[in-house]
Amino acid sequence: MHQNSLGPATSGIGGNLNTAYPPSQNDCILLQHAQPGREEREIKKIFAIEDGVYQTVKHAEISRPKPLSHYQVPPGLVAAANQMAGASSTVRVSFLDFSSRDVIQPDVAVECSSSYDPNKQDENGSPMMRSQNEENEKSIICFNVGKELYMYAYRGTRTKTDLTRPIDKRVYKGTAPSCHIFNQEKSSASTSQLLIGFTLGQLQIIDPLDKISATPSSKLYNEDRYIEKTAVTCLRFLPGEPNIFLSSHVSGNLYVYDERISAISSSGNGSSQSPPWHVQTQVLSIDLIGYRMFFPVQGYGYTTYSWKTKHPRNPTTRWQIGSGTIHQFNFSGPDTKMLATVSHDGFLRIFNYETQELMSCMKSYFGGLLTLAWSPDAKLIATGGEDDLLTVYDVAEKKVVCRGQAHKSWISQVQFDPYVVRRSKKDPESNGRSSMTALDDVSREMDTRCMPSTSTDPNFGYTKPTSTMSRNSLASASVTQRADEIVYRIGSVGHDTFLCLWDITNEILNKGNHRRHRNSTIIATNAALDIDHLSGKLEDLPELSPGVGEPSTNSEQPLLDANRPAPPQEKPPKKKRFNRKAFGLSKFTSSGNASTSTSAVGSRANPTNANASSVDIVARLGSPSCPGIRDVPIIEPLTCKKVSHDRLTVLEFRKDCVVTACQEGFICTWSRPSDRDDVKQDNLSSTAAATPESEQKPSVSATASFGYGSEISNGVTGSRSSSNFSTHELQQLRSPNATSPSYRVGASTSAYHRPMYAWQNAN
Amino acid sequence: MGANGSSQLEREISRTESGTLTNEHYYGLVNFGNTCYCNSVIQALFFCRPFREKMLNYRQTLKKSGTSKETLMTCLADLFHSIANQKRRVGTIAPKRFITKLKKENESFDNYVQQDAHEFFNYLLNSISEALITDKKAEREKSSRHGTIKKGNVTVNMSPATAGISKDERERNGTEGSDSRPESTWIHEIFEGILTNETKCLSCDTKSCKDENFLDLSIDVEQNTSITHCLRVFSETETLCGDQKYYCETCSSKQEAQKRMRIKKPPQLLALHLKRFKYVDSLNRHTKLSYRVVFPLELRLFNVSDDAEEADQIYDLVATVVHCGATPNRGHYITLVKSNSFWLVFDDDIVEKLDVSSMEEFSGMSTEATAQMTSNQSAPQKNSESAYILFYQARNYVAEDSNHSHRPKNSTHSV
Repeated sequence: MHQNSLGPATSGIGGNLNTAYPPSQNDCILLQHAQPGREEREIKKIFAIEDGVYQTVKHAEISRPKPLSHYQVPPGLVAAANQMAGASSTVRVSFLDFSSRDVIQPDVAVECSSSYDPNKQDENGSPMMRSQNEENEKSIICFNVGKELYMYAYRGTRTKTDLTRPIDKRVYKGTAPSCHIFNQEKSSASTSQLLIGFTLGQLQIIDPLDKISATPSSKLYNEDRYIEKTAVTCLRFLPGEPNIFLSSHVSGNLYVYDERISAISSSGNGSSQSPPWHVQTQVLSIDLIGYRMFFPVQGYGYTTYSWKTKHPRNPTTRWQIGSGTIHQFNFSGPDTKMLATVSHDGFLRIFNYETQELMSCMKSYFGGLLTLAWSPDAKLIATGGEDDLLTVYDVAEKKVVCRGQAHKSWISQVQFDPYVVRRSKKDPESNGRSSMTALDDVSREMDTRCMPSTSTDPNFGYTKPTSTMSRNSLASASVTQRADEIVYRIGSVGHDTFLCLWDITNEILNKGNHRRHRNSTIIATNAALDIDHLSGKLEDLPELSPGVGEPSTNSEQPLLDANRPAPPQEKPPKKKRFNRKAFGLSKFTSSGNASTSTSAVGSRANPTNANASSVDIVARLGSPSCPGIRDVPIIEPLTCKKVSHDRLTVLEFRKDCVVTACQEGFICTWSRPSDRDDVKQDNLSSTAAATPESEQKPSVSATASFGYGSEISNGVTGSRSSSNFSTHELQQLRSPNATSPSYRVGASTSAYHRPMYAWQNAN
Repeated sequence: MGANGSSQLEREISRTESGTLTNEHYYGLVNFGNTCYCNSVIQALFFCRPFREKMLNYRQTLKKSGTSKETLMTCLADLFHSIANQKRRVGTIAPKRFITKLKKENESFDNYVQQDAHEFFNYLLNSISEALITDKKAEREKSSRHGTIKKGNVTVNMSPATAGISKDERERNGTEGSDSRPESTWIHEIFEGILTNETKCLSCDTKSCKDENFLDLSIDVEQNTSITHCLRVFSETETLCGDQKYYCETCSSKQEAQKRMRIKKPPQLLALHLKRFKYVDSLNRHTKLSYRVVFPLELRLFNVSDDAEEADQIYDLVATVVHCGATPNRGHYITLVKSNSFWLVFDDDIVEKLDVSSMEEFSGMSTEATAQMTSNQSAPQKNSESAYILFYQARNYVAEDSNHSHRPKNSTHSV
């Protein structure tokens, strides 16, 4: 009887994504919030997504030689010991790869992605393994824990590190390393250059490989802390300029150092106590408009300084950006020198590094932004921060594309996975080919998409007439064949000890143009889960059915849909309503739901000068650079797994593995889905793979639309039959007049989730 | 501390403030033997600007009217006044009269035992609003008596405030024991928000909403989460079944139902109490959950109801009461406070500047080992300084701003 209630229950009042606690099977009184199920607390060493299985490599685990593990140390001592070790500095990991400088070039990446694609394994699988080996022989991993800095040889998943024999180990007194980076361009098999930043603001360059030379090639910057007193938060070498590096600090300053300038001159002959900085560029305030109220906030702008003196000295330039800590910064890529920074004031700022011009900026939903990552093609930036949200920002269009909600705490690191790009989730037969053609089409489509936005007004997303919207969606539908094509894979780790993987599909990118919509991976926002909506009003159907219905359309004509979707007119009228690409949106805007949201926007002032200039950026709630929570799609992660005891601080995507590390200094290497796993997974999901309806996409859609559904079908309830049943019932509840297609979606949902479930149990 | 300490703080403040002509006073409060629970809350409230201003106004009008009756509220107003009117900007002050009055008024505080800061906070708010209401009543009585004598036909219609606070289980304190709506005071203006209790009968799908007022929210905490997440969990859907079945009016019978609690009207000053003190049956005592719960300096609520006004109101953290120590009974309270552009720590009589970047250290302990308090309480619990009450103030809120005309009438309605 409880199962019966589950159906309407899940559809009923669920407004939250993180409703991971299943109703207990006994006669529960009230659901206990504070006691997450076992599922929640267990640390995952292995998890599966549709690509295959990610698994920690036991022998590749790295930590300090005598790890302060809770397995050995009585409770409480860990924290105490960490405290003594100065654990306040975040654990970070950096790699030195001697032969893999070109690793993230897109064409390489495409090849890689297809090589571990289940269906391409025969052609590409083995060559890649060989190249991996070669590369792996030459990597060094460096990490800091407390006041210590360790370097070990690293071979990816083949790492078998003797923790007692590091390549180098350094223990600092009085100050602790807070971040570090290898200079890839200046390192060779025998020499290396490691730049280290410290909690007290100093910088050091060392060569961990140089064991012989009597005079160690160590250089110190800001030794006397005249230049900067606050901790170094991030370090980068200027792309293409191996002698120039940048350091960001808690104070909100970013310094540019040139290694060719003697370090001694800068480290203070007493004279540099108050450096005669010369203001170069100054943009003092960005008009930050709060909801309903206008108030320009000083300190949200930026200033750059250079020396008045003729003789070059270090640091050559100083950027003072925003207010509060610059948590991270990064360059867009090797040639386009866009510099993006995220600060504690909640702003992502994108500068033209050469001209020191602020190109655009984005504001978090609230709180500081802690991390950022450029997409491999430099078109998107993903950020994470204190609002627990992943935010994906379109650099060219200067707007937020979507937000991702799954983390239970702050997000400490986001990364794009450059090795999983632009491929189709499904359709095994044409996969190899389609991944290449898709690349073309995506870029073509992106170009066309970018054009109107530059000319149109900033209200584009809000007040766009319905006709424009439908035309656009039609256009995009004809250019890109597959809405569910994965364009980007993003990973995120957070203070909640969870690792999340996210797929940004074409559909999200395209539909991001529209104010509101649902799609397969988009979770219904609170409004959609409102009891009113769920009570089965007929007018809500257009809004809610797309996510449900569209995949079923696809599943019926997978080949047709693959390259050239049938003109909408040819489709049976019944499905028209479900095809949101062509029809759903236009109808959707006229639905009652849209009117409520437009009225909400209407009460705000119009962001008229959002695009006026890069200086007068208006970051108000409801503007493209800080949309309201219901203004942009909220996506659900592909997977969200607890993988650590302590908060996670590091996430790195490497060719053959994924690396995570936590604040306790445990570094985990995860093997990526490989041939072996694919076989296994095929076996497990044989039922799923057998039937054509069991494509993976629909599953996401069905679960996503209902929030609760996902958790259930993930196997949290521990009852397969219940998940199957409830999903089915949901379908019927939602759309009383929906017929077989949506039913089948429901069925395939559970079929797809079976492998994941099985793996969790098997472990 | 002492003269050296405070003068150093003075220097630091003047350095950071350079130019701004604010006349803020930073005074530590002397501890009269385990009164840090009191000091910490007072400091937090002092730096909740709307509260302080109302308090100082109250004292002004009181002085004008000439009444000299001493209540807990007048003691607090006097304390605020004396802090705000000190010559030096930094120093210490002894809240002796207030403490004496507090101990006289409420015997549960009349000892030297460590008290719960949140309980004190509730007590203080309630006693202030009670004092205000009695003042109002007295005034009204006076004027009506006056009126009847003079004109004879003036009858002040004391309409009973729209009643109907839900009487069912009441987890949240703040509005405890009120069968009729208490009169609105400026305490309510500042702290009061409205929760809407949505219940849906699972057999007939009838939805009903009941509104409930709150002065603060008590939030369950989980390890390694954020306050945002805890608020989300707070508003998660509960299923009422078994003994807790819900009486459905439509079905005229007890039915299984789903219930969730969301914020309908966000308060101007959102006080979040983290339920860190949990009663453990097996130990027969309260233990402290030192879970790491991070809190941002800026906050928006995710758990607002769909019809909420200002659902995307942004809040700024203005003060935090922090509990230090491993158990509820031992330990210490300190307060982190934002004043102008910087943060300060008030540790009884010691006042120090705090670097914003170190705020995270007050989130609690992150390793799971520390969470297993029940198994081994002898383990050293260093650094369990963890935020206990968070004060978030709505941005752009001005205390003088009295256009609360749109404040919703507290009403019970069924859909």
